[in-house]
Amino acid sequence: MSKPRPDLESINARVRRRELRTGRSGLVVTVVTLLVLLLGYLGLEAGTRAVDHKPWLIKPDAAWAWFVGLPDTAQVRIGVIVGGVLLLLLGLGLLYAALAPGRRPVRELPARRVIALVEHDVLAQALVRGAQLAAGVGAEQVRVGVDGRGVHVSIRPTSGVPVDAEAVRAAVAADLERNGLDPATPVAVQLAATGVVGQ
Amino acid sequence: MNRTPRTLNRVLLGLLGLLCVAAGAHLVLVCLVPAYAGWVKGVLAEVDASRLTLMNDTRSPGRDASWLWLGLAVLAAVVLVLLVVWALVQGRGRVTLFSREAVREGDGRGVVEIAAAVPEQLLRQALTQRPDVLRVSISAWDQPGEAAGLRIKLQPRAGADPLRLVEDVDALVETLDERLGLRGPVVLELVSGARARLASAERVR
Repeated sequence: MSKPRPDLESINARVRRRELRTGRSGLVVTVVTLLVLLLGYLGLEAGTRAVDHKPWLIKPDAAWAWFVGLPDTAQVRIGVIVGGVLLLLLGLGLLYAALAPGRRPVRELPARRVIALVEHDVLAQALVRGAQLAAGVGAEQVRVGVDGRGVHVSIRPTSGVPVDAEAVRAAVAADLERNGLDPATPVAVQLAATGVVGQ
Repeated sequence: MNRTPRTLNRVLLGLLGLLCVAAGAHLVLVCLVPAYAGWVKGVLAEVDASRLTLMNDTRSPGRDASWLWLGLAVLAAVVLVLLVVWALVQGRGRVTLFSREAVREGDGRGVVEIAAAVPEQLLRQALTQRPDVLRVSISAWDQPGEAAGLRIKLQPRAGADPLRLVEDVDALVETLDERLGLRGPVVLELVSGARARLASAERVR
C-alpha cells in the first residue's frame, strides 16, 4: 500500500485551523478579474507596438515619456496626486487583507466528533430568550449582538418597570456556559434611556 | 475544508499591495516633493537612455519596433493565464466520492467505492425532519486520509439551542461512522439566514 494515512486528529486540527479564518478567495477573484483586464490591455498595446500597428488607445512610448517626465508632464497635477492616493489606499487595503488574521464570525462549540462552528448571529438569537426572561421584558425589547470580543445585550425596558442589568448579565453568562462556551466571555448589558410604553 | 491555497493567496495579495503602495506613493511624492522628483528624474533618465539603446539594438528584421515589445506581449499573456489559474483554484476540492478502498477477499481483488451521496443523504434524512432546523446543506470535500470530509451547514430556527443541535449531530455522525466503517473530518456550521449561501457554486470533481 502507499504511505500511511494521517490520523483523524491531525486532519481535524488542520481543518479547524482553516475553517476559523477566511481564505480571501472572494478578494482574489475580484483582484484577478481587474488584473486580467489590465494585463489584457497592456498585452494588446505591446502587441500592436511590436508589429508597428497604430496603438489602440495609448502609445506605449508616449505613456512611458509621460511617466518619466512627471511631474512636469502632468497636465492636471491634482489628478495625479488623487490617483496616487487612491492607489496607495488600494495597496494598503490589499496589504491589510494579506496580513490581517481574517477571523470568521463564528465560535467553536465543544463537540466529540465534529468540528462545530456557530455563527455569531445564530448564537445571539439563542441568547435572546435567556436575556429576555431575566429582564422581564418581551423579546422585541431585547437585542443581542455577538462579535469577536464578546456579547452585547441592549434592552429597551418597559416604561416604569426597572430592569436588573446584573441579573441579565448573569443569565447570559450562564447561557454561554451551558452551551459550552467560555463563561468569562465579556457580556455588556446596556439599558436604553427611553422605555417602551405599555406591555 | 476546501483546497483553496490560502497562504499563496495572502502572499500574492500582499505583493500586489506592496506594488500598489509603491506606485501610489511614487505618484504622490513626485508631485509634492521636488527633491524626490529630481532624484527620480535622474534615475529614470539613465533607465531611459539604456532603454533606447536596447530598443535600437533589438529591432526586429524589417520593422521599426524592437522585438522586445513582442516579448512583453507574450509575458503579459503568460501572466494572464497564471492569474486565471490562480482564480480558478479558489474554492476547489468538492468531491462526489466519499471513499475508495482496495479490498481483497480470498483470491479476488476489487475496489469498494462509497459515493458522497451516501453519507449526504443519510444525514440529510435525519436532519430535515427536525423542527429546529430550517435548511440543510451537506457537501463532501477532498481530504487526506481514508474518507472525504463532510461539511454540514444547518440553518436553525431563530432562537434554537445550538448545543443541543451540536450534540445530536455528534451522535448522528458517530452512527454514520459505524455504518460506513470509515471516518473523515466533519465540519458542522450553524448559519443564520442572512448570510446563507447554502448551495455551493464550487465545481465538483
